[in-house]
Amino acid sequence: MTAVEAPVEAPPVVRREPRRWQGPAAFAAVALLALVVAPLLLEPFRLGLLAKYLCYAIVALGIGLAWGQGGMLTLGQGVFFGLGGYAMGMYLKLHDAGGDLPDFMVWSGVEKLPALWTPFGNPVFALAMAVAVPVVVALLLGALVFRQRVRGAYFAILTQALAAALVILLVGQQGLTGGTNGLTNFFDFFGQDLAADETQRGLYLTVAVVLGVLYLGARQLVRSRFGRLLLAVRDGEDRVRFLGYNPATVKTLTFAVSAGMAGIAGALFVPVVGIISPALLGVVPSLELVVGVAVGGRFALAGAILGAVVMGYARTYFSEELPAAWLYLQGALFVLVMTLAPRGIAGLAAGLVRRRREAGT
Amino acid sequence: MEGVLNQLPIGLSIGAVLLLIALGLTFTFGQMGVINMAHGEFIMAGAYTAFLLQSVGFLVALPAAFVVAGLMGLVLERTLIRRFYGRPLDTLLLTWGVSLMLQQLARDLFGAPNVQVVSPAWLRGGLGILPYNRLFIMALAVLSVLAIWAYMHRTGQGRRMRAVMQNRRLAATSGIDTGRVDQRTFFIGSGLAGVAGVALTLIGPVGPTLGTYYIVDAFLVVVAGGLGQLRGAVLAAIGLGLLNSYAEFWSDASLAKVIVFVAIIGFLQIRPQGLFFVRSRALT
Amino acid sequence: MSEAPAETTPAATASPETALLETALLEIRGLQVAFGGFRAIDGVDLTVGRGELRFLIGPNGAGKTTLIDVITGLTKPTAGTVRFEGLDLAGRREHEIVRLGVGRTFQTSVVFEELTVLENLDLAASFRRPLWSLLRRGRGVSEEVAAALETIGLTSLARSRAGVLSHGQRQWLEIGMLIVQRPRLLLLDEPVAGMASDERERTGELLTEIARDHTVIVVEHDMDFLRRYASQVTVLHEGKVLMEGSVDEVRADPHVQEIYLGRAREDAEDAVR
Repeated sequence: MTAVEAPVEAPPVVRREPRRWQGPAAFAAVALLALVVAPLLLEPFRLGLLAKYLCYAIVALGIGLAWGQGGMLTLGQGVFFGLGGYAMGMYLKLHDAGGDLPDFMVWSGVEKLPALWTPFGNPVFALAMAVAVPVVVALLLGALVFRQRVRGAYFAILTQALAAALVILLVGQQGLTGGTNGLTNFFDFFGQDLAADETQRGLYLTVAVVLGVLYLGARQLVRSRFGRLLLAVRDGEDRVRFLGYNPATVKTLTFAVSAGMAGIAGALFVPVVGIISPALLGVVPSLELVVGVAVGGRFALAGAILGAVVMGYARTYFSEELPAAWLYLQGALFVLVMTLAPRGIAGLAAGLVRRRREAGT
Repeated sequence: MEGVLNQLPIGLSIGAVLLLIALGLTFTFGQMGVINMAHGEFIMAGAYTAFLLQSVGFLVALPAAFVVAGLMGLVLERTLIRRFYGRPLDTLLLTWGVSLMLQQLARDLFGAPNVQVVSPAWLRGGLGILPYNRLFIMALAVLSVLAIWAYMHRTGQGRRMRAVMQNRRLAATSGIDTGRVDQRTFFIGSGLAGVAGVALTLIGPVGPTLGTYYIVDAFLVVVAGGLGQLRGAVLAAIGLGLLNSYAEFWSDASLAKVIVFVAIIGFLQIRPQGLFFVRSRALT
Repeated sequence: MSEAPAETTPAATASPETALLETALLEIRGLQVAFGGFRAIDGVDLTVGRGELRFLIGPNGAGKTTLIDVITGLTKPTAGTVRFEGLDLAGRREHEIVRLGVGRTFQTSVVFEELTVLENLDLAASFRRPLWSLLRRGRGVSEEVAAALETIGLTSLARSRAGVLSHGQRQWLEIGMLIVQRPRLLLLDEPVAGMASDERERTGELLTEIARDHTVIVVEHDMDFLRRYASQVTVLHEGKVLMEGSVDEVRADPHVQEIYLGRAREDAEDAVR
């Protein structure tokens, strides 16, 4: 098949490892590490960073599902992350303002609370919207785009354009969104002082548990018939049609699930980091998330999570130690991963395990 | 009313720049199945070439930028992209890595703040509502398209290029050195991005992230125009340029991109494969 | 599964009972397909009755595959109608046509290489389930799938990845994936192309078995295969129906011989003139 006829990726060769006790054991060990060991050992600042990376890991999990399993390279997950984040941020702002106008609105000369903001005073509504808005946007976009069989690189480009458009919109609507600064200066989180170590530890644990639950859910999805159907759509969308399935539905639903995950991540990110702003959700952050997934290994859900955490740490470390070199490093790392290990860390690890096993027998 | 007319040269010149950028993208995508995110940095390289050569002369900068950006494209194709033919998504991510490095390189070489290229005196002023600099950009795009068309349809190299674009395997078995054709396409496509960069110095400052502002829109031109289609790219670029400037004019700048995005999605409901495409019987 | 034996002529299928329901399963009238200026199909009428096993033959470019593409919604006709059980198929999308009961295979078989043979079949068999019910693991093997595995002779390979199958085995898996969908009309596009002779034999047996309780249209090039397994044959030539009849009638027809034996005779005649 020539490149001209098929701008669709060649199916990667992934072998399924036999299911054993090792999987659950590894999950339990990681859970123990994350829920008990990390909070005991890490100082609050580092724990906060880890919580931030785990938020990114939730987005990465969604990317792994959409891209690794479903073949939909989405370069706009920042959009859904941002929608979730802004929903949470709006609630926190209104809560802190306690009936007055949020501070940034006063500075930009807004006199009356915009109607869009009013219902976000209710935490239940805000939380629901943090998931519902990303899901609905993804459903709409997916339905329109996948129905017309726009896919592969075209889909990637469209999601990227959406991310670019959203950033410009958010920056421009100063009075409504806080503009470039975004929403920040939060103090109180459901009656807890956000600056307190205790609150931050609780938030960290919440993020970790949510990630664990979403991971198990995603794993179940991947192993179900739906997961096989998704894989089939990835590798032969047109063939799937002739099995009587509508690939557009399968893709749209999966895309919506991944968007929902990003929305949840955004909502958690805001109290953890204390800010949501356009710079956190544009083209570059969206791509960085995808980079993380590629580094970790896009065909394994655990690889996607690992990649997000590793990239998060790398970014913090290098921008602390060698800020000028970070962009070179990030670029070079990416070039290296794509050329030498397109299946990422997870792919390398699986290869090692297989080689050892073959050598052993 | 005058405001509405004033938008016309703005929209058309933006369309012209987008066209210059999109031509390279649509050919490399159509011919090699490659999505080159570093294409934006070739624009930036062209703009900085004009910055460095501003004492020598603006007209010298055009061919110089073409060669500089073209060579950058050639090197990228030879060293990295060649291994990724037919894997657009992988090249997208790969070249994004390259793009990050090039941006940082520009920061180290020229500093992070924007620089201004002084326009030559003969491009200041204008004919009524038509500023000379915007007219020049449009003329540049028209000439480039004519040159590309002539190259594709009137030369042996161009014929081979079209053959590879339509059926790489058949072209290869017919004795065409597809590797050479790919190199030429990459050189020309990247070179045009460099020319676009020079054009952009006439209407704004130059910075390390210059390319990122145009690359997304240029990709949208490829989506809307249809893969590897010259006339599609021309129409889509003009359309997108006008849509952009009028959306900004009638709503406000922050909504314009959203409007453009919605318009593109709407357009894909009518023409999912873009304005022009080759009908094929192949499955997948 | 209780339909009349398949090896019947169209006349026999039109028994009073079925005639009341519908005269034909598939009815194509005045079909035209043009690619640019080229007419791949140029005015085809074709009627296939329930329980028939119909072979569609013709030289390269006769329009056989295009005809199947039109029936299954892959290609839109420029003119004419395709009716399946009296329903006009115009404007229906591929998966909707499959859901009406039309299944097909492809010349170059496409199975999901990442999935096992069993998973491929299970996926094909589950297409009528609501999507949410697909979220369950679905580990067991349904009777239907087990039976299909048996029929296509791949039981021992059930847990292997489909990627390791040979060309012939892939074709059988595709046929198996069709059977578990219980279509009312099966369209097989050159099922024995590229097969070794023992694989052809096995495919022929499989075909006979399937035709016992399904309506099947087979596109085939191979005259030898045709002679052994076909009863009713439609010959396409340059986008038109050249003739219809039994294998023997078709084989005896001078016109068919001409297009199949090449232009040798035509040239000879030209020379005489």
